[in-house]
Amino acid sequence: MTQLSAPVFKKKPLGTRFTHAIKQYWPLYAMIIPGMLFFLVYKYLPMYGIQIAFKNFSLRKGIGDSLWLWEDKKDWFYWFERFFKSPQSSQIITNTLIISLSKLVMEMIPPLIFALAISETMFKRYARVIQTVSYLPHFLSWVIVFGICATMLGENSGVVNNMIKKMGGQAIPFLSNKKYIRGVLIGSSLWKGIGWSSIVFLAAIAGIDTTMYEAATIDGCGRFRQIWYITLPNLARIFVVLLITKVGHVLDGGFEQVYIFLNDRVRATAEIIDTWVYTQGLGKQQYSLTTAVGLMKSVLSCGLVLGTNALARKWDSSLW
Amino acid sequence: MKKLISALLVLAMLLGMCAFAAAEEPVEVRVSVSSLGNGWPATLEEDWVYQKILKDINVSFKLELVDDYWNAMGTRMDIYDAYMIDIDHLRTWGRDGALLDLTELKETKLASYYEWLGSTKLSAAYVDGVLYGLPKLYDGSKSQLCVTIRQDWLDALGLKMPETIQDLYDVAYAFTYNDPDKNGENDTLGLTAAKPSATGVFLFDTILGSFDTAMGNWILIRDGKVTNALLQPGMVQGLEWCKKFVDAKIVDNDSLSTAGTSQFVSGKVGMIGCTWPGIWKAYGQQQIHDVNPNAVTNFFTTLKSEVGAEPAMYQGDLNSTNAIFAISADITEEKLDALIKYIDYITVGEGANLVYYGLEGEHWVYDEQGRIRMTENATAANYISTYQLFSRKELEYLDAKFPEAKMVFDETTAANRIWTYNSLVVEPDGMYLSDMESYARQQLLDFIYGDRELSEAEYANFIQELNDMYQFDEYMASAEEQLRAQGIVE
Amino acid sequence: MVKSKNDIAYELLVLFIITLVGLVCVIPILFVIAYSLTPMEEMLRNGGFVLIPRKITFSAYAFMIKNPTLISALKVSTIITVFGTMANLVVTMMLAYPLSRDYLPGRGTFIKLIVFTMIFSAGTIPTYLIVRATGVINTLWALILPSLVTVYNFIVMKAFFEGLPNDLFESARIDGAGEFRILYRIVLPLSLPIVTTISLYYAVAHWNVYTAAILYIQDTDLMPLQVIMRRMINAASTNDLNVEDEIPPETMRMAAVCIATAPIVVIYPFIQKYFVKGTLAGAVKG
Repeated sequence: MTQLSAPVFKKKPLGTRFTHAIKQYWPLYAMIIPGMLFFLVYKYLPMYGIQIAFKNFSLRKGIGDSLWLWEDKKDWFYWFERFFKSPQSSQIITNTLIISLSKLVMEMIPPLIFALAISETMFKRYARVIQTVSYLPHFLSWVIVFGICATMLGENSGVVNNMIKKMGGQAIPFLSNKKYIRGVLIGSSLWKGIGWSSIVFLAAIAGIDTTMYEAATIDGCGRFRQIWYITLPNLARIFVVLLITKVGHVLDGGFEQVYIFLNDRVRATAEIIDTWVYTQGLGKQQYSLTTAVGLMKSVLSCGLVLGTNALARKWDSSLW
Repeated sequence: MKKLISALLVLAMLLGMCAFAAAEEPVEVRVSVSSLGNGWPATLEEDWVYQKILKDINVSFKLELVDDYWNAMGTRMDIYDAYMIDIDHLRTWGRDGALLDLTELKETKLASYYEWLGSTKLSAAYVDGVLYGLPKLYDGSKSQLCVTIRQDWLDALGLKMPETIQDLYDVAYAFTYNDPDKNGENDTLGLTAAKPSATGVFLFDTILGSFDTAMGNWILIRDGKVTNALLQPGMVQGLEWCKKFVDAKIVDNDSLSTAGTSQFVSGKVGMIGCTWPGIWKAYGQQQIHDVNPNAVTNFFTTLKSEVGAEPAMYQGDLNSTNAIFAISADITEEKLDALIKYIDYITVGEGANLVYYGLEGEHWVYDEQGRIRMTENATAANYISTYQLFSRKELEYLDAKFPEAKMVFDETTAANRIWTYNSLVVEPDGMYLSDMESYARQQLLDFIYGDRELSEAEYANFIQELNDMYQFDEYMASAEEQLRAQGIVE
Repeated sequence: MVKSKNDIAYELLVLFIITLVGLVCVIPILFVIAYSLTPMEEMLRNGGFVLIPRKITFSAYAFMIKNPTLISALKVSTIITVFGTMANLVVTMMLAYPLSRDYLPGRGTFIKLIVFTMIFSAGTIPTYLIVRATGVINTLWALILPSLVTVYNFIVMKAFFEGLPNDLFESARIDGAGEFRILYRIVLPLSLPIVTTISLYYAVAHWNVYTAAILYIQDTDLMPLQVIMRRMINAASTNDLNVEDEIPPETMRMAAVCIATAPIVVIYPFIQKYFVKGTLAGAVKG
C-alpha cells in the first residue's frame, strides 16, 4: 500500500501563524487594545452574574453566595419554567414578536425612503429645515410622547377624534382598545424615530461616488432607475448591517414605551416579555427571573443574528 | 487634586476638633426614600429641617433619594442605615435577613413610639411573625376618595345631587346630552376618574361600590367569612350597570389610560371620582375657577343601589401602605440610638410640629383656641413632608394644613369603604398573582365593554377559568387560613 | 436643462414625502413648545390643545431656571457630552479601522466577541459591581467608561470603513505612513459623514443619560441634566401622591423638555453639511 504523501496545502501551525500575524500587523492589533479591553472589563467580566438565572438570588448574600436552585430543592430550570408556565406566556411572546417585527420594518424602510427623498429633492434648504425638524421627536421621552398621543388620540376630546366627530364619524378609542393599540405603538415609534434613523442612511448616501450618477445620466438613466441601480445597491451593506443588529433585539419590543402605553383594556394585545417580567418582579426583587428570561431571549436572539448573518453572506455584506 | 482636598479636609477636621473638643460629633444616619417633597432644598445648608434636627438632637439625619428602587436600590442597600420601602420590599428583604428585627425593640427602645401609635394596626409590618418596620399609617383611610361634581351644571339642568346609582346614571346622561355648560355644543361627558392604578379601576369602582364589590381581586370579609370582590353576589348586576353607562356613552373611556383630572378641571366632564387633594386643595380650586369663574364644585360619597348592602364607594385597605420605615440589619448601635432619638424627637412636641408644619412663627402660629394655623409662608414648608417618616394623626394634621377642604376630608374619611385585606395575604408558592389580577381586570372590562357576553352563566365560567388557570380557589383558601392565623377572622 | 414630465412627477413625489414627514413631526413639537409657554388655565380652556399661544408666560421656565442644581447639571452634562464623545470616537475608530481590514488575521473572532456582548448582557447588578470594582462610582468617569463603545455604532462605522478600498492604504504604507497616521490622515477625512453621524449618536446618548447616572452617581451635584429634570417634574407622573404634593402643571414638564433638548438640537444644523449627497465626490476612488 503506497503511503499517501502529506497534503499539499497544509496550513502552517497555529503558533507560527500567530507570531507571523503579530509581527506583520502589530500596529493594527495595538489599536484595538483599548476597545477590546473595554469589552472585556465592562461587558465580559459582569457576565459571571448570569449564574443568578440558576440561583435563588439574594441581595444580601450577593451573587457568589446565593444558593443554587438545586441547593434550594428546586429544578435548575425553575425560573425558565416560571416564565413558560404562566398562562399568558404564549400570548406575550406573540405580542412581542408582532410589535417588535413591525417596529423593525418601520425603523428600516420609512427612514430609508425619507433619506432618499431628502437627498433627491432640489429644494435643498427646505429639505434641511425638514430634516432638522424630523429629528426632534427623538428627544422627547416616552412619557411626553404618551402625553402628546393622549392629546391627539384621546377618545373624548382628542384632536383627531374631534375632527372625526365633526365629520360625522364615530370616535375611535385608539389608546384603550385591543385592536388599535399595536398600531399606536408602532406608529408612535415610527414618528419618534424616522428622522433619527434616517441620519445614518443620509451619511451613507453622502458617501456614494457622484461620478456614478454622472455616468448614469449620460447613459440616459431616469432618476428612479438611478436610485434603483446606484443608490440602493450602495446602501445595501449598511442596510444589512443595521438589519442584523436590529434582529438581535427582536425580542425586546421597546419596554419603556410599552410600559407607559399599557392599560388593562389593551394588555391582552400589548403586553410584551419585558413589561411582564418587570411587573412580576416589581417590588419583589426577582432578579433571578429577570436574568433567566434575559438569558433565554439572548440565546434566541443569538440564533436569529447568526441566521441573518449567514443569509447576508450571500449578498456579501455579513458582519464578520 | 484629590490629595489636596483630603489634606484640607483632615486639616479642617483637626481644627474643628480643637475648636469643639467638648461638643460631640453628630451621628450621621442615612435613609433612602423613593421621592422627595416639592421644593426640596438643593443643599443641606438650605434645609432648615435638617439644620434644626442637627442642632436639637445632634443627629445628622440625611434623607437621600433613590430614583429607581427596582434597579438602583438593589445595588446600594449597604450604604443606607434605613429605608422607606413598600410592603413587597419589606417581605423580600425581611426574609433575606437584611432588615433589623424590631420585635424586641418594640418593648424597649421603641416603646414610647409604639405607645404613641396606640391602636394603629401594625399587621403590615410583620413578616412571618417578625416585626420589621414602622408603617406609615393614617387614622382613617389614606385613600380619601369621593366623586366631585359640578354643582353649577346640576343647577343649570335643575337636577338633584345623586343619591342612588340610578340618579348617577341620570345625572351623567343629562351632563352628556343636555348641554350643561349651555355652549350650544354637544361636547361634554358625565363621569370620569383618576387613572387606574394598583388600587383599582376608579371609573367603574365608582359604580361597583354600590353593589358591595370592586374591580378586581380584592379580599373582603363578609359575615365573618373571607371572600373576594370577584365572588360577591352583586357583581354581575354591578357589571350590568357599568355596561349600561358605557353603552350610553356617558363615561370617559380615556380615564382607563390617562387621568381624567384635566378633563374635569377644563369643564369637559361633570363628575370625577378621585382622591380629594387634587381638586379640593386651594390650588385645584384656583385652577377650576381660572378656567371658568362660574364653576361651583360639590361632592358626594356613597350611592344606594337595589342591592341591599350598606352603600360604599371605592375600596380601601387599612393595613396597606407604600411607606414602611425599615432599619438595616447592619446598623451600628450608635446609629440605631441616633435613629431612635430622631423617632422620639419627631413623634411629639416641638419636633413633631417641626416636621409636620415647619417653624413656629414663620410657617405656622397658634390661634386663639390654641390650634395650629398655617401662615402665608406655609408653602416654603411643603417639602418637609418627606421628614414625616412615621404615622401621624391624620385629621388633626389635615385640619391645620388644608382648612379649605375640611368638609371634604371629614366626610370622605367617614364614608363607608369596601375594606380589603390583600396586604395581609401572601400568595401561595408558584401562583401567578399579578397575572391573575391583570387577567381578572381585563375580563371584567371585557364584560363591561361587550367583548364578552355578560350573564350569570358566563361569569361563572370566568370564575372557573380563574380557578383552572390561576389557582384562584387555592389562593382564597390560603387567604382564609392566613387571615385566621392573624386573628382577623375566627 | 429641460425637465421631462417624469422628472416633474418625481420632484413632486419627493416633495410630498418630505413635507408629509415634516408636518407630522412639526405639529407635536409646536404643541410642546406652545404648551410650555401657555398659562395652564388657558391651556385647559382650550381643551389641552394649543399650537400658537395667544397668551404667553415664561413662568414655567423661570421656575426651572431658578433651581440652582440645574446649572451644575448643565455643566455635568456638557462635560460628559464633550469628553465622553471624544473618548467614544477615538476608541471606536481605533477598533473599527483594523477590524474593517479583511486581511487582518483573527478579525472575525474579534467581531464575534464584540457582537456577542450586544446580544448577551450581564444585567444591572453584576455590571454595577464591576463598575464599582473599577473605582469610578460616584465620579463622572462612571458616565463615560462603562459606555465607551456601543456595538451598534462600532458596526456601522466598521461597515463604512469596509467600503474604503485597500489599495488606498497600500500606497500610503509604501510611502511609509504608520497605521495611526493612515487612520488620521486618510480614513478620517474620507469618512466624515459617518464619523459625524456616530459622534452625533454618541453625543446625544451622553446628553440623554439617565439610567447610568441614577445607578452610578450618588451626589446631587454630579447628576446630569436629565436626572435633575426628571426629579423636578417627577410628581406629575406619580399615581400615589402625598396630600402635600402639588402636581407640577403639565406646562412645567413641557418647559423641561424644551430646556433639556434645545442645546443639543442647535448643534445639528452645523453638522448637517456633512450629509449632503456627493460630499466625498470621487475621493474614495483616490
